[in-house]
Amino acid sequence: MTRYRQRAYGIAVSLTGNHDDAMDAMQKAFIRIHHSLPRFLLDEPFFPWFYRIVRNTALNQRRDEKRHKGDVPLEWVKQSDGQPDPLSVTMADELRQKVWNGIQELPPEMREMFVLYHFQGLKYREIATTCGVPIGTVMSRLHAARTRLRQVAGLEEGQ
Amino acid sequence: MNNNVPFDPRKEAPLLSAYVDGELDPGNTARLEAHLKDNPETRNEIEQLLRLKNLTRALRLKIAPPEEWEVFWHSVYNRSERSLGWILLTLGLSVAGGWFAWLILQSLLSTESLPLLVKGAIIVGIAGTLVLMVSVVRERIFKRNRTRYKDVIR
Repeated sequence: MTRYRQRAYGIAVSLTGNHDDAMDAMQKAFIRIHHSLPRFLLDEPFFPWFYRIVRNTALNQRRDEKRHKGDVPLEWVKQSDGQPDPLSVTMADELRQKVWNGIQELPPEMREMFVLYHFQGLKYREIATTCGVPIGTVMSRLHAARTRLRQVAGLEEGQ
Repeated sequence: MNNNVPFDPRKEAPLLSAYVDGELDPGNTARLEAHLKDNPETRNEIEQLLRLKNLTRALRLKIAPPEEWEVFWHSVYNRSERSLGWILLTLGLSVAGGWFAWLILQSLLSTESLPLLVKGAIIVGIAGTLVLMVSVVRERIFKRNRTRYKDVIR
């Protein structure tokens, strides 16, 4: 469980929208996981099963919580992979801020795909298995998310 | 998709994202690349998607600080303990309450001074209360099972 906790936190915080709700959802999710472990089939991959429990609990938490605050669940850091940024630092920071805000505004089904691909590092097929949707749905939701983010960041006007 | 069918950027837009992510199959990649040769608009769209991907690469999800995890496991344990406590309390109270209700009912019914009509009314009243309780519990269970995940996208 300890191995998966940061990943679970990432899922929960990106779906609930704030730290407190994410931790609350994770507590419920870990209790459910603990209770459901005997029913878990060992020949099945663990992550999709684990993810679905965390995801459902987080979405229910978001729905149930009237105190949804919409805190800032994401933070951006400078590129550390040594790749040169083609944009000036200030402009890139501005754009990242817009993208960052745009991610918070995405509908849950799009945000989920976006987070799984970009922040959890899953491939399309893995996302499809994890979420139990066809790969075409992953593709279209991810593209729809990016289309929105391009609009939000003003990339479509060629900034 | 037939590899001879030209790529349609309006109908097949999601494939652009898959191409940028290197997730497009060879057949569709060939179709798309053939289309890109003569279509600057789609090329521009690909460039925008790449720019967005570069921008996103610098974003990271917030990580919960280590001290949060110590509190977290305590809370999980407490929450789990409390739910067990509530189950045991409810079970105990139900059994004890049922037992006392049965004793009261027995003593009322064995009181000879009480008219038969009143005894009947007490029985009917208790039966009504039981029916109401069962109905409320059943409705709650039904509602919980049916609406619990209504907003959850599967």
